[in-house]
Amino acid sequence: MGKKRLITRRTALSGMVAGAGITIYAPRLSAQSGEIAVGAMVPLTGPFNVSGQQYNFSLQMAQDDINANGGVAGKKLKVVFEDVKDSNSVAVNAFLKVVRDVNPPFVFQSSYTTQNLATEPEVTKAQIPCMYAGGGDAVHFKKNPWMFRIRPYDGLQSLALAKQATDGLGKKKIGIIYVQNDFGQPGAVAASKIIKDGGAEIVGMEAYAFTDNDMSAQLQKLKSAGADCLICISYGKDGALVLKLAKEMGIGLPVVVSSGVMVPAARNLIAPDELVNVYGVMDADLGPERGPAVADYAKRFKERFKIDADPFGSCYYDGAMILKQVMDKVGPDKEKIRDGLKAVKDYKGITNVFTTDADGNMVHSLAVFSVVPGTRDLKFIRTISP
Amino acid sequence: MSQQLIQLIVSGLAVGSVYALVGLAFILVNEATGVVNFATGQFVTIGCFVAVTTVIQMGLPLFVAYPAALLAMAMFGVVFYAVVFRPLQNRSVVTVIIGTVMIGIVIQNGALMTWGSVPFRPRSPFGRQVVDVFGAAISAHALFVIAVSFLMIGLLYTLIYKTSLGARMRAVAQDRDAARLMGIGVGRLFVLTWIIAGVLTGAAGILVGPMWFADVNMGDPIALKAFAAIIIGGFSSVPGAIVGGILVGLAEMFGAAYISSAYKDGLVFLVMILFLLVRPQGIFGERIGERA
Repeated sequence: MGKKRLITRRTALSGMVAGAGITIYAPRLSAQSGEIAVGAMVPLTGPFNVSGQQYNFSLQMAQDDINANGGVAGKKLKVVFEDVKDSNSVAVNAFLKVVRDVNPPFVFQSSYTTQNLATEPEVTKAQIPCMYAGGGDAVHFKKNPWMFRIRPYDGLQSLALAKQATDGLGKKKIGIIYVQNDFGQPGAVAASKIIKDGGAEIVGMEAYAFTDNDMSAQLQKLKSAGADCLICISYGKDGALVLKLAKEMGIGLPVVVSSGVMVPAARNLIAPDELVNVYGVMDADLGPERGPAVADYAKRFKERFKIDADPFGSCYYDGAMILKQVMDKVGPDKEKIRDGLKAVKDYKGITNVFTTDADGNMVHSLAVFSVVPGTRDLKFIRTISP
Repeated sequence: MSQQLIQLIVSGLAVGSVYALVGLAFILVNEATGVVNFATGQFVTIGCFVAVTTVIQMGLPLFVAYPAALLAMAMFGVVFYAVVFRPLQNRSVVTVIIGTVMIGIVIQNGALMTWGSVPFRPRSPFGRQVVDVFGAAISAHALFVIAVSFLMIGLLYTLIYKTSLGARMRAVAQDRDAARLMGIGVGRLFVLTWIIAGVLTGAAGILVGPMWFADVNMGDPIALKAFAAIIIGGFSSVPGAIVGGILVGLAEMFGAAYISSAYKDGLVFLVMILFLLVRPQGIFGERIGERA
C-alpha cells in the first residue's frame, strides 16, 4: 500500500508560483508600503567592481543619511541595487528588470559609458530620469532629456590632460598611451586634437587592451619616438601598471594620467618613487583641506566600509542628495523630477559644484594634481574648465 | 643588440614562461583525465591571492610564504579533484567541461568575497630592483620569473620522463584502462595530477603577482593565452606547451612593438587559428586519426 502524499503536486506548484510572485513583486509591495524605491545599476561583480564597489557603498550611505533626516518626500528611501557586471546586455536587462519590478521614479546608472549608451534607448522608452557617471561624450551627444551626468565628461578630461602637458608643463612632443575601448580611444583622439591645435606635436599614440599586463613595448615606442611627456588614459590598475613599468624601464618622462589612476585604490598600488613627475586629473580630492563636510564624508565612509572613499563613489552620494532635494519639492513624479534636475544650479556637493547644462551635464570642472614627493599624497595645482 | 630588442625579448620570455606553466597545467589534467579544465585561470588567481595572504596579510618571510602558498595550492588541487572532478568524471566530456566553467565562476566570485575588489601589489623577493642587461633596464623580478619557471618546467620534465612515477602517469594518459589492468593506481595518479596542476598554476600566480598586481579578474586572460600556447605548441605535448608559451609571449611583445599595440592579442589568436587550420596538432603534437 503506498504512502499517502501529504502535499499534492498541485499544492507544491501553487506554493512555488506564489513564492516566485512574492519574490518578484516584493520590491513593488515594499515601495507601496511607504517607501520610495529608486534603482541603482552597479557593477557589483566582474572587472569593473573596484569602482562599482565605491558607489554601491556611497549610495548605501546616502540612503541611510537621507532616511536619518526624514527620508525623501516624507517617505523612506530604498535603493534597489542590480548588478550590471561589465556587460552591456546585462546592464540593459538589469535596467528593464528594475523598471518592471520596481517602477521607480528614478534610476542611478553605472559609471561606464558603454553601458550608459546601451541603456539610453530604454531610458527614453521608460521615461524615467537617470543620473549616470560614464564620461564618454557620445552619451551627452544624444541629448536625452532624461539623463543627467554627475561627473565631468571625458572631453573635459581630455582638455585637462592636454592643457597640463602643454601649458602646465611646457612640453611640445607628447606621446599618448591609452586603453583600447570607448573610453580610452575617444579620449586619446580628443586630447591629441587639443594638443595639435595648441601647436604641440603628437609623436605617437599607443593602445593596449584592458586585460593587458605588460605595456613595455608601447612605452618603449613612445620614448623612441622622442616624446618629452606622456599622457596616460587608463583605468586604475592598468594605469598603475603603466607607471610602474615606466619607472622600471627608466623612461624618465613626466606622465599626466587620467582620473582612474588618481583614486586611492590605484595610488596605493604605486610606490612613491614611481609617482615622481606624475600629474593627474581628477574630479576632486577628498582630502580634509576641502572642508569639514568632505572630511566627515571621507571619515564615515572609511569607518563603515574599511576602504578610502574616492570621487567615483562620492559623486553618487552627491547625486542622491540632489535627488532628495528635488523630490522633497516635487515628490515621486518622473517628469517633475526630470524638470527639477534640469534646474539644478550651484549645488555644492562633496565632490563638485553641480549645475545642469542643456546636455544634462552637471559638472563642469576638473582638478589637476601633482604628488607630494616621497608620498602618495596629492597636491592641488589648479582647476580646469572649458 | 638594441636596448629595445633586449627589453622585448626579456619581457616576452617572462610572460611566455608564465603561459608555459599554465599551459602545462592544462595539458597534464587533460592528458590524465581527458578534460580541459576551464577553471585553470581561477587556479592562477587563487594562487596569487594565497600568496597575498601569506606575504602581505600574514607578513610571513618569503622563504616561508611561498612554500606555504604552494602547499595550499596543492591542497586546492586535491579539493578540486574531490569536489568537482570526481563526482563528474563518469559524465560526458561536455558536462565536465561545463562544470569546470561554472565552478570557475564560483571560485572567482568566492575570491571577490574573500579578498575584495581592490587590487594588491605583492612584493617580489628582489623588491623593485632593476638590472642592466647590455644597456637595457630589466626588472630583476622578470629574470626571476624566467628562472623559476624554467626550473619548475625542468623538474616536471624530469618527473614525467625520467622517473617511474612519470612513466605511470604517461601510461594512464595513454590508456587508462590498460594502466588499471597493469596494476597502476589510476585514482592516486589523478590526485597527483591535480596536485601538480595546482602547484604549477599557483606558482604562475605567485610569480605574476609582483609583475601585474593581484586582482580577482586576472586569471582568465592568462589562461586564454596559455590555451593559445598549447594549441600552437601541441595540445598533448609538454615541450609544445613550453615552446608555445614562449612563442606567444614573444609574439605579444614583438607584435605590440612592430605591428600594432592595439591588436596584439588579435595577432596571437590569429596565429592560433592559422595553426588550427594548417597544422592542428601544433608544432610538437602528433597527428592522430581515427580509422573508420
